[in-house]
Amino acid sequence: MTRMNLTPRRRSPRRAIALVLAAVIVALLGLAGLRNAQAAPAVDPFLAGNTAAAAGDHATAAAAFEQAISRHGWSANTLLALGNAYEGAGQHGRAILAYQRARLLAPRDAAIAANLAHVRESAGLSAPAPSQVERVVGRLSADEWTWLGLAGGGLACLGVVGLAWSVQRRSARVAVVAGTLTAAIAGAAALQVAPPIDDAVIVAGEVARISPFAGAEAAFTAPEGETVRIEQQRGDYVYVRDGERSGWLPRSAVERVVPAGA
Amino acid sequence: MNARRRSLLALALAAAFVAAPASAFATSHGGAAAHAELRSGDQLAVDQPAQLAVTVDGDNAQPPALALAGTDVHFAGRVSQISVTNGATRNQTTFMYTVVPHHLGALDIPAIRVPTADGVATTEPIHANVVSAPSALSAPSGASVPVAAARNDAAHAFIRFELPTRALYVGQAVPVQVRAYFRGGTGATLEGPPHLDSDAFTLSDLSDKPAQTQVDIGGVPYLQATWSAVLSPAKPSAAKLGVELPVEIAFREAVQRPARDPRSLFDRFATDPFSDPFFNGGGGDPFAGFEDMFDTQPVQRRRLTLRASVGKVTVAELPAAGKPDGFSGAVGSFALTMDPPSGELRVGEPTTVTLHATGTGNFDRLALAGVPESASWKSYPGKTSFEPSGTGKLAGTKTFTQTIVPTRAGTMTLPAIALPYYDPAKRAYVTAETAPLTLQVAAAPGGGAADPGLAAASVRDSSMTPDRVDPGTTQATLAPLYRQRRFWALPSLLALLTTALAGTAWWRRSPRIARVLGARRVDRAVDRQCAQMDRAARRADPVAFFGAARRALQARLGASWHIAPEAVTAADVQARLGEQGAAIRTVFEHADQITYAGDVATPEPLDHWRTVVRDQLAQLEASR
Repeated sequence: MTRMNLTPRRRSPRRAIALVLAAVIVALLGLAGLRNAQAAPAVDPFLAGNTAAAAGDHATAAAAFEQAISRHGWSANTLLALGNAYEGAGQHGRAILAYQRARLLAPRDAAIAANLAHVRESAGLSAPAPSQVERVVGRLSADEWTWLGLAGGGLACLGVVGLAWSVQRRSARVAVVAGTLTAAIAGAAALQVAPPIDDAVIVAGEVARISPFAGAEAAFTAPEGETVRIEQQRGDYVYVRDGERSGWLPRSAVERVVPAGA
Repeated sequence: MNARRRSLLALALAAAFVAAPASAFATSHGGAAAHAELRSGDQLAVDQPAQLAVTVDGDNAQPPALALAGTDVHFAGRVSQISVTNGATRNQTTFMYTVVPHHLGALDIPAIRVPTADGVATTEPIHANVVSAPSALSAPSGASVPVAAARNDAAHAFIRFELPTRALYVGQAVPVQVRAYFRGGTGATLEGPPHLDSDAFTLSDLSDKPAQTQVDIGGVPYLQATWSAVLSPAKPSAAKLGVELPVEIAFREAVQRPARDPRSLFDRFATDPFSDPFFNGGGGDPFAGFEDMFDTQPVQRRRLTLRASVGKVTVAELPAAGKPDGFSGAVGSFALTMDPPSGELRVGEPTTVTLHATGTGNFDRLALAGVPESASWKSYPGKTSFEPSGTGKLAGTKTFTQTIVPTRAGTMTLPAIALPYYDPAKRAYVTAETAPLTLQVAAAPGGGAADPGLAAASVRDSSMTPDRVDPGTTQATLAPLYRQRRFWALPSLLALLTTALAGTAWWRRSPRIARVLGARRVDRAVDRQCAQMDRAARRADPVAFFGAARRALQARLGASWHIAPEAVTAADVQARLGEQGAAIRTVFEHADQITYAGDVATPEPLDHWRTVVRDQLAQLEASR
């Protein structure tokens, strides 16, 4: 006769914890997989943009490059391609905006500068000739100047610590002076190179008005591609200044060089 | 005959022989004499100003009103003069008029009535001829321009043409300069730019405004106006080459008297007696000094075409023999250099090569083909720019920037680039060349070769740089680092760390802090030894107990005496504390006995010694 133990076996708590953890991991992996499956594109938007551009479909290419930026982030090459696409589509303003943004990331890229100059020229826009100092400072991006300034600051800090602890006092003194100078110069250069927050490009030629509504009297005609300074915002209008001229433009007609939140 | 005698004779005979062709003296009704004279003679130029002088005896005369049909007459001023001859005083007043005839032919100036204090004086009528005005300084002398006038104009303005060589080639460009000279005091209005008198040449890049400077020529000040330009022969020729400059000059001229030939007595008598050197001390008009003083000379205006020639210039065709392939017509002397592509080369990624042609010559005709398309390179049309080294366009650097795309990975060669040109100095064709460049080209991302044609089609204008096959590195934001909040964590951390380290160093170096720290160190050392002492007492271990007790006391005494704790001995205690340190000395002695003699027996229990040691430590701490 087989005896059966009818007393229920106590489950090991370790085993229960392991099971719960395994379930959680599986659920997380599943969710991640599902998310990836939803997000994974059939074709990389950058490649899709290149293909469309090569086929001469500049509007589709521009949309694909915009998608590539929103998905993967900003890159100089993508912005160059985006500028080319907008230029091909006849949108000088957006092309200039894209090239300007590309120059923020790659200020020494001669191709971007050349394309920007070319589009400006063909749009009949003039850019002030940079001074010698601006030319030198413009060789590095604002981020590169910032890192250089930080390195200078680090050197100065090292010197301060050396002086405090009386270690290599002469070298520490040199480090403090050199580091402080480097940090100051690089900081000023970074401020100079970075575009002001309110700099914007007119992406659609519009009539600027003296008041923020459509029926207001015209102040001046804002040419597409011109860089202006946004001074106020009210409703769907922004108050822009273009040199000596100023007026209200529809918000959709201008786009900041450094987009808000980007 | 000296001047004085000549003057007296002239004055005596003047009353009888008043027969100058363009002057007339008449006796007034009241006895006053009046005289009218055209200073430029009886030949006037149409539309050109002439000077009419009406002289009357006395100093109370009023200027007569003059009106002539077809002629503008303007009153220019008056001059009074007193002369004394042999004790006789004579007052005379001369009224100056500017006369501008507008019609050719005879000009009759009727008798002029001059009201004076003695009555009305009347001049004799004057007859003059109006002829065509001179149109150019260089007009033939047979024209209506008086020779004297032409000579005067030449003294007021002339031109020079400077050419570096008279042997040129078709297509060559040489710098030339045109210099116009205007005598000081002469006003000049340019009526056009300088131009060549030959259609076998072209004058280009002529400066808009001439450079002006003051020069001195033969002691005479001149205003020099200089134009710079580029001369290019358009066709073979061998002819004179000159330059012309239309101008209008304005000047006040000294009064020109008719030629006075002293050979005949009649001529002498026929001349104006007041022109005798006796009256003006040197010849010329006796009123000239006064007129200059009051600036009453009329302004002479002349429209001229200044001309200058450099003589015969020979222009030859460029030789057909030996003309190299790719010769674009560049004539001069040039050097060619190439900037290699920068950065890493990768298949399918565009890069740029830059060629610099530096030298002197006709840069307009200088053309470069750039890197030719091959199996290894896809090439695009380039862009050129010119940077002059001076003011002209004949010397400088022409830069040619070309986009190329490597189509193969590996070690590739950029071929030599040639610039053929004709060197007029060597009289031969010369080819400037760059050296071939060996470059390493990496494979395209993913290993495959990109199709440059695809990328090239991405731009509407072939002169623009096409898309790249790789999106490159990306970043989440375009905002500069310093505007990102998270970035400031790093410098903040750096600042905090520096502050902490520097503060620590300062803290440690502070004497007060050092004292406190030292005291704490001693307290901790004493506490540690007391704890060991307690444990040894509980274990009834006198060796450990007295060892710990001695170290605790040494630590406290060493800190008080500023010596190393290990150096404190029973002798020191005796020497420094005397009888007050008897208990401490006893502890030291017990510790020595136990350590060195192995004598562990003490009459008192360890608890007793523990109390003693603690009391001594407390006293030492209190006395610190």
